Amino acid sequence: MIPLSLPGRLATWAFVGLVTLICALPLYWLILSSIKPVELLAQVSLIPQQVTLQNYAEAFASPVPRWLFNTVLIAVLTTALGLAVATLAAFGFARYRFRGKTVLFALVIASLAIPEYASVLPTFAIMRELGLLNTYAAVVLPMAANALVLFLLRQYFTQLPAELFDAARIDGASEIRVFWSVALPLVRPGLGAAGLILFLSSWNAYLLPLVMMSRTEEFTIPVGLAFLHSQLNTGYMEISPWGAVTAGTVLSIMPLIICLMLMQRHFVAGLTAGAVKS
Amino acid sequence: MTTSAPPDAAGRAVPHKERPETAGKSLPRRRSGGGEPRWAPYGFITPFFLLFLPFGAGSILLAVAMAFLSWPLGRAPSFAGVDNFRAVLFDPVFRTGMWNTLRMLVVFLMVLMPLAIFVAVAINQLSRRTVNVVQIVLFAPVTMSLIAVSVIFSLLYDDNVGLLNNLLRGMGLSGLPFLSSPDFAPWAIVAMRVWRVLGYYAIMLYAGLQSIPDELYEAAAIDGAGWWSRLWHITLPMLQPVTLFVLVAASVASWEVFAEPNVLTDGGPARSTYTAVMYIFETSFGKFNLGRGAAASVLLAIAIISTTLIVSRLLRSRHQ
Repeated sequence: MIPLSLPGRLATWAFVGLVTLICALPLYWLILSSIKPVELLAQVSLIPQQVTLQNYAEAFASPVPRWLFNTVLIAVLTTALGLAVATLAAFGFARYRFRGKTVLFALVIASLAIPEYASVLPTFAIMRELGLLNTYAAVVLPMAANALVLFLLRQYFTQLPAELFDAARIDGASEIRVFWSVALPLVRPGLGAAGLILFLSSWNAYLLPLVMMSRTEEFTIPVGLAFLHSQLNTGYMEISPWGAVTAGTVLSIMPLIICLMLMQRHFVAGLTAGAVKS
Repeated sequence: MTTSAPPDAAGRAVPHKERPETAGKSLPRRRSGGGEPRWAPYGFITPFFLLFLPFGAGSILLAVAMAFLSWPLGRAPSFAGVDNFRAVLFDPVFRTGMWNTLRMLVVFLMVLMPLAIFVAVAINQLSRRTVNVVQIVLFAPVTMSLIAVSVIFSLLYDDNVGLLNNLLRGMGLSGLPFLSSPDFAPWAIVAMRVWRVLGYYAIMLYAGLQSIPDELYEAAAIDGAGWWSRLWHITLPMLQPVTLFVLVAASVASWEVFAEPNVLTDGGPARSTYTAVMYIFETSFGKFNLGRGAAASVLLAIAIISTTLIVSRLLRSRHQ
């Protein structure tokens, strides 16, 4: 890049500063709202006048902990299962030549274009036939088959030098051994990025769990928060659930924000993976 | 191609057929448990496809099939021909949903794209260390669920407790009906959607900017090209593949808007934020008509594919 003149540099800094501020302010306002008394929710002040944990107490008394538990379980299961099947398949696609490979891989890539809502309906029909509605499996199984994750991991396996595998085979290692002891340790960065994609998408999923789970106690945190939020103006509840909503939302976003700060590189790699393929 | 059975993979430069003998026989004792190389690939890919075939690839075929069925929830399906498509196409509510989605999509892209490109160009001027810090903040919104983002913006938009209205009232102005007027609500939702993905797409574009060779800019600067001229004649054309990706991804996501209006406005006021996916959802799970819902999703899928084709065609021809 050509170095900018001083006014140009100042303008750049001002612009980036403004954009960063706009990105951060709503988030700050949420956290602030969650630690001030509900009566002061409308108060305009960037510094809290009065700090309370009442909202968090309300959130813990509501079904929020149960929803968080469901979400953690679903996200962990989806990530584990999704990584397992995608890593194996990615290795298969990257390191072997076999009949039907091109067609199968094209099918996987084509499925990236399938919009989520279009597969939710038939998946609902399948799950109902299987009697799996209202179970974790109804959410975990469809989300674990992630085409983008397979695509991303295949890239990592393809980059490994072939000589490495031949050496292992000459030493008498079985195919699965080559995969487990030779290939897998070398694609660890890819596993991090792929795991984050799976975790993020299952943690934040809305449409699928909304359709599959009909009982309040089986909701995930996004579905539950949307439900609580819908009670805000109905007067259906005795007290306004704003406190539980703000505190619950903070609890729902914190795990991923912390992940983002700790594993920024994986995040950027995972979330921008789509652009690389174009 | 380094993707081949073990014997061939050894020599990358050597075509694998020229050295089959040495390779095939040098492979030591094959164990049945370890998997013969011929069957090994199928063993590796099977678990994925056990999940992918029914829920990924199969589901789209099933969706198309369902569109031709009359399938009231809880009863046996029967063949319905094109009845579902006719019913959906002549349903004014479906048209409202498609129209709302389309106009929100157009405004969303027109606001998002220039902003994202400017942000990308701006962070490209910063040092790597600064970018790493800024990146965390820019990325934060996209890690949150659409529901969390909707809750955050209802704290800003709400008529009574919302920050924006209280700020306006504090300045002696009257509040604005961000979510309670059909003239404001769709655009309030668009603004929120731009907020959520701006940093994410800017980082993607920034990654694209870094692959543009510096020499191009230096040569242009020597020729006396100014900042705008360099942006227009070098940055934008060179960035085109990433721009295309962002444009397609953003427009596909925009056709699928559902969670935000579902939480913030429930499609109102006066159906001004009622979207196509809300129609599909309501028809399938509110009115329990899976066949009609599937027909609507097929029509929406056609709209999405057409948009993708149009967008890529337009962008290609612009920079020919």
